Parts: sequence; structure tokens; C-alpha cells
Amino acid sequence: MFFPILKALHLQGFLDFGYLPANSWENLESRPMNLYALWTDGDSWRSEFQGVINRGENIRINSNSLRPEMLATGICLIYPTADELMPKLDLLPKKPYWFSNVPEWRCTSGLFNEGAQTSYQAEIYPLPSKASMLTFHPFIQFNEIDNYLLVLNITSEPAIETHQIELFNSSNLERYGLAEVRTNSASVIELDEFGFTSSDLPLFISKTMAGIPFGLGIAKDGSMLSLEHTHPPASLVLFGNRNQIQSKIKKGWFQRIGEFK
Amino acid sequence: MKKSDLLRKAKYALWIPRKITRNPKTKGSVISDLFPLRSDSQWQTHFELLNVAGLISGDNALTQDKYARFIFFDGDGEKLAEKLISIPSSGRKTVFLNSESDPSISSRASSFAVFHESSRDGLDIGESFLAERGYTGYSLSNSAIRGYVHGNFDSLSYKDGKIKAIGNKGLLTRLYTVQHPLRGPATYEFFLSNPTPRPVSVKVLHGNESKKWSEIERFELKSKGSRIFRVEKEDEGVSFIRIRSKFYLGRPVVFRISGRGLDVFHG
Repeated sequence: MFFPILKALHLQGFLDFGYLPANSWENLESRPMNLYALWTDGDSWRSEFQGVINRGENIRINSNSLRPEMLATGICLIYPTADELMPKLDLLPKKPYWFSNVPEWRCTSGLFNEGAQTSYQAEIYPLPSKASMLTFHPFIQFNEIDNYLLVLNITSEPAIETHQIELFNSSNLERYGLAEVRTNSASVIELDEFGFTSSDLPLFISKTMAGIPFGLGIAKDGSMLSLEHTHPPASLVLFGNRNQIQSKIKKGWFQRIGEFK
Repeated sequence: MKKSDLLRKAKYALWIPRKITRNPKTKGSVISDLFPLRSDSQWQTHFELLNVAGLISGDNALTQDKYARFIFFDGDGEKLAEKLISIPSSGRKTVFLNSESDPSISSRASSFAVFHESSRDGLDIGESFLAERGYTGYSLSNSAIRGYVHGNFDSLSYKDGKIKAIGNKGLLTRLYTVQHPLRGPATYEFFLSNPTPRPVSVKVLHGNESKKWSEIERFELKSKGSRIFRVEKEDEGVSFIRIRSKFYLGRPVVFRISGRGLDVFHG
């Protein structure tokens, strides 16, 4: 399990996390933990020791305290571990030292400018290299705001690969455009140029890359920021075989998109 | 085995067999979160109404009128009002919820649920239930834009006019530490709701960096009830909030107000 530090556009990122589990019974780990920053150069995962955190302590890391190459892809991971890591890794470490299920052990990760900050409760696990993404995006706001789609992707392998994301109107399946997203990156796509209206529900599809999609809004005067992720399609239902339903939802939409092309 | 480990495992055994949310059992029920309603001269709430059934079926173009049932509750969980709002034929409708501009929403309302029609749609979702996990945007009167947050947890089911709270609670009291260190200067407001069918006693603890905890609130939340408690964080030091209750997941929605900025997220 990793905690992400982001950097997007002119915004700096922050990560605020504590060695304090959300519940008092799932994980009684109390050893001091080494904190490593992990980032990819495209060929290897690079690791750098950041310090030790003791049980009960809290740490905030801002992106402007990290070297530019650590955030070249827009995302740097923090990994708490009792082990020592080599400076170069072929794959991301697998062993989680902090874990809980009810709920997941999370941190606060977000973006900030001079006058505002926005955040979400974050943890990130590597996504499969071969996967897809389908998301409906109701976060576009109008008037004094700039709207972006932010797509986070982390895989165990360090490669930075470029994939395509297609943008549609979910009602009439009109194709609004195409954009690029990358693995092991925080990809930012400007949405205002595509001409979505306030009653459109944009549909974003990548058939070759999974990702965690966010709506990022920046007030033009900088006084407020907005960041929230959409749910995966499985969240449209509860109980039963949600994975099967998610597959069916994706298959149905991919099929319809194919028919309209 | 250490005594502390044994105790933990015993507690685990007592807690784990039950899930955070109970299966509604009645086929065709629909599920909704209990969303915070911030509705006064300062606050504005916008709900993003989508055609959830259409998103599942793969066809978001409506050929007939459909409605979603908005139900409003007061802080004691009493139902105050119900509104049918048409599902957008174009994909998205941003519904402005404000008791001052809409008299059908009581000024006492503090939360709401959104139930979609399920059985009429003939959706092939097997043993699953259609759920509204929602995206709600909040703003203050001086905010330039809205801050969005998705649903916190599945709370209520609806079928044939009957609303059931489907959250679970445990046998033993437990602690939930809000996974956000409070940093000032900022005003924090925490919205906590009771998704279980029975009243739940809640203690709110505020801790400093040395983890000395002091009780700042104590209240009982009735079923479907909700409460907002506030922490003024004037300094830049870090502090923490803990919820002591029998909730499986005593997780609040957090509103952080600083300057003209508003940050909203589930904690």
C-alpha cells in the first residue's frame, strides 16, 4: 500500500499522514517505520529514504520539498516499511506494513496554491498492466472555473507507457475528443476545450489502461480548488456479484461505443 | 500468545462476522447513502442527479419520463419531506437543494437520500441492488466554485414506501480515528449520521500531537439521524478526532473551511 504525493499544473501537492490506524483492532504494528519515496524513471523504480516515523507520529510532505525528477510524472509514492530498500527496484515492493480493511488505512493527499487546498482520502495499490477504465464524470462546473480530468495510474512495473482516453457524451455517444494518459503518472487533461454543457454527462473510456479518475476544478481567481474521484461502475450496485456486473457494464458500453463509431 | 493479542483476536471475532451494511433482503429494494444537506443563507448543496439505471444498462438516453425520490430527514432521523425529481434525459441534472428557495424542503432538514426506481427498469443485476452513492457539491455563499464529495457509506433501503436503515453496529464500543490530521487556521465541521436501525451513543474525542484525548462532544444519534460538530483550529499545530461508538464505521464527512476555500471529503 502506497500513499501518493501529486503535482499538477501550477498546483503543489501535499501528503498528510499519521502512524495511527483508523481503527484500534486490525493492525497493532508499532515498530518504527522507514519512509521511502518511490518514483519511476521509466526503467526502474527509484527509492530514497525520507526518514523514520514512530507510532503516533504525523508527517506532512509537500511536493516542493522533493526534487523535480521525483515528481516528473506528477506522482511520487510514499511507502512505510520495516525493511531497507535498494536505490533501484525492478518492481514496486509488495509487502504492506500498514493495512486495515474497515476502512482502508488512508492518508490525506491533495493539491494547494497560495490561498486554497483540496484533498481526498488516499491510498493507492498497483493496478494491472492490462486493464481498462470507464467512468462517468459529473464534476464539470461552469463560469469562473477551469476544469480538468486527473487520471492516476500506478503499476508494479516501472514503464511509463502512453495510452489513449476517449471522451464521449454518454447520452448520444457523440465523440468529443481524444487525449493521452500515461502509466505510473498523474495525467492531466484540460476539459473546457471539449465543449461539454452543464447537462452533458461525459463518458471517458480507455480500453487499454486502468486508472483512478478525478475531477479537478480550479477557481479562476485561485480562491478555491475542488478534487474528487468518481466511483468505478461496480458502485452503481450493492451486494451480489459486483465484479460480474462491472464487467457487464463495461462490455455493454464498449459495445455501444463500437456500434456508433 | 500475549494477553493483548488474545484480547484483540477476541474482539475481532465479535466484530468481523457482521458487515458494515446489511442486505436489504426485499427484492427490488433500492439503496441510498444519507447525504449531508447544508441549506441556509450561508451554505448551498447541489446533488448531481444521474440516470443510474441507464448507466448500468448501457443506454443513458431516456425514452420515457423517470423520477428519483428525494427524501429529507431532520437531525433525529424523522422524515420531513419527499420530492420526485425527474431524471435528466440528457445525462446530468445538477439539483440545487435549498430550503430558503424551495419551501417544500423544510428548514429543519439536515440530510437526504435519493432512491431510484429499480423494478420498472427490468435491470439484469442478479442479486445486487441498485445504489445511489452520489456526488454532492457544497459551497459557501462566498465560494467561487463547489467542492464535491462522493457518498460516505450505504445507509438506507427503500421499497414500496418503506425506508429501512441498513447499517450495522457492533456489540462492543470501538474507536474510529478520522484519517485526516487537523491543521489550522481553519474551521472544521464534521457530519456524522446513524445508518443503523437503533440509536447509537457517540463520544467525540479531540487529541493533540502527544495524543492526549479530551471529550468535546457527547450525543445520541437516533436511527437515520445526523449531527454536525465543529472544531475551530486556530493554530498551525496538528490535532486529531476520534469517534467512540458502536458504529462499525464511525466515519464522518469533513468540511474544512479556510479563507474563501472549502475542502470537503469523507474522513
